[in-house]
Amino acid sequence: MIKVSNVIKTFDGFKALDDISLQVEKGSVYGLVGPNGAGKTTIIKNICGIYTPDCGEIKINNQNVYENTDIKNKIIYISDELFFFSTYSIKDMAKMYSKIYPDWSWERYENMKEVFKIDEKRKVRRLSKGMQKQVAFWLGICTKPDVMILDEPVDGLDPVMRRNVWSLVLSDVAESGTTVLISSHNLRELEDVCDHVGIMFNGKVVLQKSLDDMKGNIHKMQTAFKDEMPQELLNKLEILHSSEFGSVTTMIVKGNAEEIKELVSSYKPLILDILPLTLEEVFIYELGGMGYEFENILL
Amino acid sequence: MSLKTSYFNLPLFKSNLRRFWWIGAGVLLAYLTVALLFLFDEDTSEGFAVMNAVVVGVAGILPAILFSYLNNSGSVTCLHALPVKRKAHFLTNLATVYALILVPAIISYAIGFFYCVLEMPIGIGNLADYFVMLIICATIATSAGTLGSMITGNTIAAIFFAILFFAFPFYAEGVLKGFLSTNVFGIWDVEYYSLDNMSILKANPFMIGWFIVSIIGLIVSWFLYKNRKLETNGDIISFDFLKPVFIAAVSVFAGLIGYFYLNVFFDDSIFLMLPFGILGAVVSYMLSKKAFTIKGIWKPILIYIIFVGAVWGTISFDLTGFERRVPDIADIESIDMVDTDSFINRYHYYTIEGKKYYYDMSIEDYRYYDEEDFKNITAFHKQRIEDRKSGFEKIHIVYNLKNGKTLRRIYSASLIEDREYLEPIYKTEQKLKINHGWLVKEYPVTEIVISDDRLKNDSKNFEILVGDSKKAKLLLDALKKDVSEASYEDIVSYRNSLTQVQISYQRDLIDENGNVFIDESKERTTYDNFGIPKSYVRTTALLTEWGLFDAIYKPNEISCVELEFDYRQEETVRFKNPDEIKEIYDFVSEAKLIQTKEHGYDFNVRLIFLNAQGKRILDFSGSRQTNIPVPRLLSAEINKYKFKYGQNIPKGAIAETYEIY
Repeated sequence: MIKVSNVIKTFDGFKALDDISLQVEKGSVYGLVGPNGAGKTTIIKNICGIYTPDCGEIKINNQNVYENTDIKNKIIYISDELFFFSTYSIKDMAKMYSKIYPDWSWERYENMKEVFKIDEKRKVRRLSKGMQKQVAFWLGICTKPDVMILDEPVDGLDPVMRRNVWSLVLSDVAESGTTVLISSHNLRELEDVCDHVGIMFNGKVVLQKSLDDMKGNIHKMQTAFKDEMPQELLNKLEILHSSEFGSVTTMIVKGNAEEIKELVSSYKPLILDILPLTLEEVFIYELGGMGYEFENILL
Repeated sequence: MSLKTSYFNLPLFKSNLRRFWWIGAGVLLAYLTVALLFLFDEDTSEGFAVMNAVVVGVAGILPAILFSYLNNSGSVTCLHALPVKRKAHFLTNLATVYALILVPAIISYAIGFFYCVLEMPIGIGNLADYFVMLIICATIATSAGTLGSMITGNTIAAIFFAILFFAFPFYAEGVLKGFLSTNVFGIWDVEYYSLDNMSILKANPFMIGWFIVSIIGLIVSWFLYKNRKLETNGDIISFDFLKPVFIAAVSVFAGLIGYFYLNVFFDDSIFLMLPFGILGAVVSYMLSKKAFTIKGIWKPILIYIIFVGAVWGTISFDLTGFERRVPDIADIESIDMVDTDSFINRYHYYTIEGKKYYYDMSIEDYRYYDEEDFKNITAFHKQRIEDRKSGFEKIHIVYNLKNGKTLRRIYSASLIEDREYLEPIYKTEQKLKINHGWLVKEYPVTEIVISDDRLKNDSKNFEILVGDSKKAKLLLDALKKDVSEASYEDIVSYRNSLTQVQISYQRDLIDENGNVFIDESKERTTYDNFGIPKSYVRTTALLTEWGLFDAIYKPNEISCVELEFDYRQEETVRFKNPDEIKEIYDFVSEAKLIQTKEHGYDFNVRLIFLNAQGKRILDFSGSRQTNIPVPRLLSAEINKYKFKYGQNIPKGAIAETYEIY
């Protein structure tokens, strides 16, 4: 379990993290989204014990991470900025990792050869960025981590490899109860894999919920009435957004889907249709009124 | 967790060696080259000194390379995400530096040991001394390099800081002493500690002191690493608390460099520290902020201006009382008072196999203990402070006080104008001993040479052979008597000298504990060189009898004098007028015979004397000097040349002065 409590981090007077708290339960996949500069990488580097927070507390499995090799043995961090020693092949890196990480599994390493299909004798620094990312996953998974922290993990991977990587991550979660924290600026990517999502903006977590809660509480409703939509009904609904096209009104409405359907039906609409929202639509309508630049996370 | 894992990480160590093995190989190659010298050269010390230089260079730069991962966001993130503690990172890198230096060194020294077994000239004791010195040099350089790497997030800056930290003590001492000697009246400005200590192959107290400082430097480096914020990669200064120190240090030293530079063009003033210092403050401020920003820049500039003003006030008004301090006679235990030449003779030492050896002169032999002498010397001291005049002669005064402290001052004086104060001091037994070391004891004289460059070719090296004991004894007896009766004029000047004599004699070399160096194969000859004035009647009579003055070219034997500048033959000026030739001849004779004190190299002149057949018979080269007036006709030609080539003529200069030798 990852627990971040009231963390503040400043760089030259600029508050990169502003009193952040978040919690990632064991065995869950937490997606951290936000535009560039929101503070995602900064909080991740604090969680990994690379940066030290100015104040606040970060614990993994109830222990401080900073300078704690027992905990770090169980964490794998795949950074957006990959680094491998020059002259090192994949096999060389694996040998080094096997001596650093006590739970290293050569069996997994051999199995992963089939997934990644990269010649282990190749120098890592000479591989493309996408292939280097695959190597990072390959090596990371072989350490048998309890916690995986992934910063923009599938950037640069082709669609097939993206699917493979997500599949590996999720099977690790399913089989070993691995806790995963994923940072991304791409909501669509996270929708399929995360069970919890937190959104960051200007150094703050402005919203964090389970995906089910988030999606189950907000709906797109299309309806048409013979005359105008009754004012009484409008007053009863928690409408986040409304638009009209001819006689059809499309609304984003918060609340239980069945209750909304029952309420609207009682006013005898000509048409009533309730549709699920995508994660990005949820974020747009939940937070749209706050003035955040969501175009950056809805690519 | 095991101790081994906690303090040292083998995989990272192996990784370091794997990536940087070629540096170790380069060091080994350099060492083996030195090792080969053992085979062919008996004196291997120079080779070991080269080895130390290699060590210093490599050990200074290696930390910057090994810790360069701290300066890149990607590498620092990946390496510090590993389950490796900071102390393991730090110590593993440090171990790598030593491994890459010491493994090649051990191989080389093993070869050296093998030579010892084969009874080659190098001794095992020397080998051990050299190795200790190598460790010391390596540690000093490693400490400088590591400290440099810790305070910055930029690899270039890390190398720069490594060099700076390594050279800082020498640089700082040099620059500050230069500044103080220019601005503080009477400041003691002796030769300062230099990098030469590195070439001494046996650890001396100075180097051991530096070794201890370097260990402290490594400990400080560790604390810096421990507390370093890893997000500072790319910053010139990685610690906020060091930024003001950085700005202050850059400002002051840029100011001092600027001071010395601008001194060439403007009248001396402490405020010459301002332009470059302010520039330094601006640049260092922007570097520390990582931006071309001027917001808030007024603060370091203002602080620096206040600092310079404070320095100016302190020195101008002698707020410390340094310049006016003259000890009471009752507080003085003894005084050493020597001029430049004597100072050099008395403190000069030789380094033989890493140890310092001095000639067997005892400072007590030349020290003033008499109260009358105290009065004369303090009177001179007070007169210097009152008049603040300068002269050509540098006088060093060292008061050894009864409270165990020492007061050191240097003043310049004119031997002629300040005669009233100097004569009672110069006409003393101590001064006689200083000027003529061969008189102190019955040293074995090995050679007496008339060192007069005007001698005709076939009379060069006009030697009075020591083997010819009768002649030598006659000359020495005559000199002893003449010297002991010398007038003040003869003591302070050789301008009226007829010729010059050099007496070579053997003195024992003693170490700092008074032990005599007994290796007879080593040179222990020294010499005294002095002019023979007309007043040395006994000596002059002997030399005349032996035909010396017939063996010296006379002005009437010279038909032309050629004056060349900077060895440019196309600029040659010729003098053929007998009066002009005589004037130049007299100048050269006089200048040659004067004991010159300082050497300043502005540009070179050369005087070539030709005989009637156009053959070169005498050749004198010279450079600009401060203490000998040049004949008007030479000065005019020199100034013409300097004007033509845009050379700077000092403001208000009445006559240029040159040394001819």
